[in-house]
Amino acid sequence: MSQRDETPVLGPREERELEAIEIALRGEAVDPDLEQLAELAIELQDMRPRTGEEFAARLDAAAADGFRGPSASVLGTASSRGGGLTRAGDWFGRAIDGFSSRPLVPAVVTGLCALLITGVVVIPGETGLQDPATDDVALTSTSPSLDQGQAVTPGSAPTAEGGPAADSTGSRSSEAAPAARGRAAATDAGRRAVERDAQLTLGTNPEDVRGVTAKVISVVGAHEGIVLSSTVRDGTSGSAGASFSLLIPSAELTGALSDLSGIADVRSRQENSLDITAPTVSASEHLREAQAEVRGLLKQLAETSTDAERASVKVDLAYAHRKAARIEARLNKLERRANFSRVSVDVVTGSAASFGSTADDGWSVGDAAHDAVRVLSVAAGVILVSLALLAPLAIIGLLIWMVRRSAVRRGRERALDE
Amino acid sequence: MKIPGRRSRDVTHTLTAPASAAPRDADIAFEDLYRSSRDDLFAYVCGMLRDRSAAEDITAAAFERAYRKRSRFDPNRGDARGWLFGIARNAALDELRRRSRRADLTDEPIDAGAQPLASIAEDRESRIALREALKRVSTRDRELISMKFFAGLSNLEIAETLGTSETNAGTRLHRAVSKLREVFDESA
Repeated sequence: MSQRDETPVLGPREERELEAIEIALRGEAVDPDLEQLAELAIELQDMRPRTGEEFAARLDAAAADGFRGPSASVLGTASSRGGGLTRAGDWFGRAIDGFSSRPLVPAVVTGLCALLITGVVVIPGETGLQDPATDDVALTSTSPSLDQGQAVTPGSAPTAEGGPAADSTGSRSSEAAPAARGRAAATDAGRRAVERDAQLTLGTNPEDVRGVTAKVISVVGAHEGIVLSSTVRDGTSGSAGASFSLLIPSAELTGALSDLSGIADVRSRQENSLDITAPTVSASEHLREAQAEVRGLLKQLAETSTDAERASVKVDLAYAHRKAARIEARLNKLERRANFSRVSVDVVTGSAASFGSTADDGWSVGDAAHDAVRVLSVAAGVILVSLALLAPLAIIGLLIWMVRRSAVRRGRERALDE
Repeated sequence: MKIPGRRSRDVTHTLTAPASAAPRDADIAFEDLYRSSRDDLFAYVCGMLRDRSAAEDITAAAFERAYRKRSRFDPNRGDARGWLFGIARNAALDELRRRSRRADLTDEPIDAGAQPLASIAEDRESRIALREALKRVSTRDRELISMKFFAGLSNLEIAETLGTSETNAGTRLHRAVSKLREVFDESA
């Protein structure tokens, strides 16, 4: 048990004897009844071990050198003799000591953390930061491997496995995917058919809605597109606006979207693409079969000799014609979907429209604040994750250090009692 | 012709020293502590371990560790000597622990290297008995005697070294002296 915990009680006799020791050590006389104690004190004082001259000289030299030389390092060698737990505790203790005694260490650690955060946040976050030219632009694509303007690109299309699955109607269907992929892969030597559509929201002032509308129509005309429908609403901020439903040749889509984005402040922009090669190829094959059937029936009709035979072949021929026409219509529809892209343009006004700003305003203070908040939130997330990883390790290290320290204390107390 | 405003002539070199080269307060204080405590610390450690060679190592190691930690020393929390002796005490106790794990070494006379053999031979009988008594008391008691009589620490400094109150230190010192007297009387 540590004697630190004992509650001392000094009686008058003990206090007197302690006082006599002090007096004797000062070389003064004590009461006669305490002379024996005084002699013992002086005798002990005379027995004081004296520092050897050689050791004193070595120690003085080490002190003058700031104890940086190879002076006796019993503590260091003692630490290395301990077990794994002791060594871990020693290491942690030294780490704690080092933190408090070396002011540069926290700065270095802070720098490393900053580098880590920079590496995690900025480098992968280059695509996460907003494009200065647009604000809140959400650009998504169901076929990211296809670049803009690559609606129909011979020989450079992605593999069927990489593209989205599509059934005969062009809609996504997981059940139809394997079959569609199979047909597409089998006929991939030709061109790929990709249906594309886009949604664009432009912000402007209420008084500029008409002007923006005219520019939209002008851009559509310039790219040989078609305005399927348009709606223009006059009014105050928030209620004024316009909506357009456009058909743009797929080959012109990229340029058209770029021109449309330049008309006013882009509030949002979304693009989707869907690979419809499989249904297109399938329809083409069916059409060829239907046309071959028609040709066969025509040949058969020419060879008939009786009216009954002729009438029967005509019925079949009419059916084959209708079938071929249906397939052709379906194929034309698919080709139209591939050749023309649907574009929805909404012109909005109000608080979201950022009065007076245009798409060419560049990087605003709001953008900077937005990016700053994003960077800070990501940095906070990185720190949180780092803490989640480091905290258990730190707790384990702290426990090891505490256990080791407690063991050392107990060991020292035991050493005193031996 | 005298150029007004110029105070130096023919100066070709200016000797300067960086500010960092100037000794800091902590360095000056440590130097004072070293000078005032070197022999006392050795005497304490040697009295406790009864091994001059180990005492030299422990003393050097204690000063080395104290030097490294000198900037962390807070004068408001106690006396510098108490702090230094606390470091040495831990080092000495660690050495005792290591010894207990190894085969016991033969103790050297605590002042064998300090005094000539002739002087030892001339020691009075009582001193020999006292030396024997010191061997027989516990390390705990010998530590207190070393602090008080070999190192010359005050009761307050002993208390700071042990991390206890001055009254407690006095009580423990009195107990150690009483034990020593008891053993000494038996030997004598």
